[in-house]
Amino acid sequence: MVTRTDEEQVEALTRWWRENGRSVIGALILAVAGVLGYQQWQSYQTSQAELASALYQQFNAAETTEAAAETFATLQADHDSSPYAVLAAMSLAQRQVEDGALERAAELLRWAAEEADDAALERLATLRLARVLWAAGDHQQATEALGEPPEGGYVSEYYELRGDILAAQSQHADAADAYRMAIEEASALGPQRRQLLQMKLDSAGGAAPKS
Amino acid sequence: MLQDIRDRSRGWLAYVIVGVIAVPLVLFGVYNYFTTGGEGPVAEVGDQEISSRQVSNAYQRQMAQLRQMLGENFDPGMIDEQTMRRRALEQLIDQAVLRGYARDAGLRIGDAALGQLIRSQEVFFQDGAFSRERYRQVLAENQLSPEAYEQDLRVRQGINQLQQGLSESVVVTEADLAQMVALERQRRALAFLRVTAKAFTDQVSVSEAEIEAFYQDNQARFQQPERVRLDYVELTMDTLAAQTEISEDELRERYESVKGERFTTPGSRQVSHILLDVPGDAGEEALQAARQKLNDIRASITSGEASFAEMARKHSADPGSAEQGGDLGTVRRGEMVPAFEEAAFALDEGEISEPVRSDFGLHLIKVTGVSPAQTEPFEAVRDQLEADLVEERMANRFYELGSEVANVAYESPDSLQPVAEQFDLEIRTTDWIPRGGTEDGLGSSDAVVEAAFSDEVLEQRYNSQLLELSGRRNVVVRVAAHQPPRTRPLEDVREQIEQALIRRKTSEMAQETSRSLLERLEAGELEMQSVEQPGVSFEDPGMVQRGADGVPTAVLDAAFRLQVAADSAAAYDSTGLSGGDHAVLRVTSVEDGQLAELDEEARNSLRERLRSMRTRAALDSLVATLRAQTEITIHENRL
Repeated sequence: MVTRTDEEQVEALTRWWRENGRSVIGALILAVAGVLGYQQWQSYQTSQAELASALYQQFNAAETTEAAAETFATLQADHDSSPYAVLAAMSLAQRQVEDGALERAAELLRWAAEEADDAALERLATLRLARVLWAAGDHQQATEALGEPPEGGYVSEYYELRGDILAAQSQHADAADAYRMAIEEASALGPQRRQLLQMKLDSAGGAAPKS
Repeated sequence: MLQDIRDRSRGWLAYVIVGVIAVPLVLFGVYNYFTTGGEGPVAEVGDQEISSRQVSNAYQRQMAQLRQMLGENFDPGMIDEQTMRRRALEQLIDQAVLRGYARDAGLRIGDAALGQLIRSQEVFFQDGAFSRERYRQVLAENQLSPEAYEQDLRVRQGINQLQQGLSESVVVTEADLAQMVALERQRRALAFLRVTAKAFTDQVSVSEAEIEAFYQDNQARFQQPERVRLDYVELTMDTLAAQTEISEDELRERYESVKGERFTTPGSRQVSHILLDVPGDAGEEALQAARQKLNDIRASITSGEASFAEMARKHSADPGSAEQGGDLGTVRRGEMVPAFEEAAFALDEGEISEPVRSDFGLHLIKVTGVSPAQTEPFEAVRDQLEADLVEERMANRFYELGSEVANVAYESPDSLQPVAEQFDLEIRTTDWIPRGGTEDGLGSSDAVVEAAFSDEVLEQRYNSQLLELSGRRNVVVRVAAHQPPRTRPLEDVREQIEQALIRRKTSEMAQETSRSLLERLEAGELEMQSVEQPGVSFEDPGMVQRGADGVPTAVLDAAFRLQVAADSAAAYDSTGLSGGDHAVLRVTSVEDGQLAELDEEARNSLRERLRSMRTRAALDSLVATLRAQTEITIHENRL
């Protein structure tokens, strides 16, 4: 091992600092600014989320569809990436369905499905959109909206709706296949849902298909 | 300087320093090594962890719920702890997945909503209102910091908003209702031929070889479990009733000792009061002033200047009674605060008390009516007392007799004869009782079956102990006969086998008949109503609904599954019925249920049904989707 005197070591340190001092200080300032910026950004996100939550609460308290639509418009404009906007869109769609305005409901659900950031809400909105289109008798669009089978959740509901669309087009054999999938794919089928699906399956030709 | 340190770090001092630093490090490491195994999380859900304690708590909560739900039927032995813990864990994972989602997606409530929520929770109430102190205290008791609790609550409320939002936005269209009604209230024009298996009995025969073969092939069906017949003597309380007599003196004595408690209605008073508000922390001066005021009021009443009712209306701070002239109605002991009660029950009718201090303030009390305590006379309760005494005495006698019987049975363990003779009891014998017990009789008592197959009673052939059938019926049993498990001999079951084979063959013939009928009907060679053939009968229920009465379920199921093509007049099918019979059925028309048939109420209940079904499916699917997206690790060994 090479041993150096104290002076030599101090000399080496000083030289190193002269060469690299600026970059070290620069890096430190950048790091601190980054952390502060990130924290700022996060707390901004949080306050935005809480704002959306409050608006959503206000939306739910609205007594008339018009008042609800007004609050929804604010959510839609200022918080379109928040799940609260998606939830509100679906709720408003539900109110429109109650009022018999299927087209307007479909529009809202389409918006919800497009804006939803995550698969969970997107699939639900998509399913409800297809359900409303089916109810309006638009089987072509309903099939398009329904798309490919999902994975994880909403599988049974997907196949049930597919069966409904096929049955409405009198394609009974395919409908029966879909209903069968709906029964098989449900992880925990409530007795009422099982009964309903079985009935749909039976009605589509069910367990004993006839030639 | 640096060089100095380096030079000196070679001597003994260096070793000491290294040693002092190293020992705690090593011990700390070993400690961690031993503890982490037991304390690690049971499951990791994304970046969240679920501890074994959380699972235990959830498990305890579930058990408590079950206990409450099942009440007396709750039997902890029926429940497999591991399965229950597993279920509790799954629920915790669901919650964690939702929490993670809510946190990442920004589902949370703001300060205003949070404040409102916390202030509305009764756990944090003190004296009927939210108390900051109580809030801190409750959190501290649960080892929570306000920051952690509030953070958790924000997200939990976010999840509530999500779940509520999903269920409230469930879409149920008119088309959905129409579809449900069309299916549920569908009616079909049904007719069917029933082919009775019994009708073919004359045409089948069963050979000895067939019986033998069936017996050999189905040995499992002819196993008979181990069984015993029991001799027993029975002691019932009812036989003792006749021997019990109670003297009049005993009845009187009992009456005197219990009348105060059982037969006395406590007295009550009609009370009015005037209340002056004096807070609990009021000073001596304020109290003195209030007392003076009440004394003045009292003086003006006693002197006849004013009535109590008037003064109550004018001065009383008790808004409820002031309007009624201070009247509080009828008051019994134990209903009022002690100071008030003491004063009120010390007064006679018409008297007014001195000022009385209570938590509410200072009272002036007037008794306006007195109903004394009432005791029912001996004659009225004599029969009831007698019945009680008879029952008590019988129970005692029954218990004494029981232990005497048990003693004798134990002292002569090889026979029931001595017991029977000494206590004048009859020895009876049961029918065969298998290990699993019987539906009724002695074999239905678990205690008897357990004793009968115990080592002492079965192997040693001793008398059993005194066995309790119910609180009023005891028995001592001994084994009279024992049969080990065996295969029942062919002779015992020949008849049974023959019948089974006949049923099978006739059922096959019925099936064959229905098949050929179906073919000819479908080919149009036959009219269903004109079939005349032995064992075949035509039934025509007409338009039927699902679950219609009077039609076999199998026929209905098949009928509602049949596809009737638009261009054909009828569709046919065949199905087996219970008891070996078969049926050929025909559906000629299908009428869907019409939404218009439903009244407002039926329509709403249908809508609700669909709505709740879809809500459940949506919530379940939400969790399933999130679970599929989250990395979940379960450490089974820590469960």
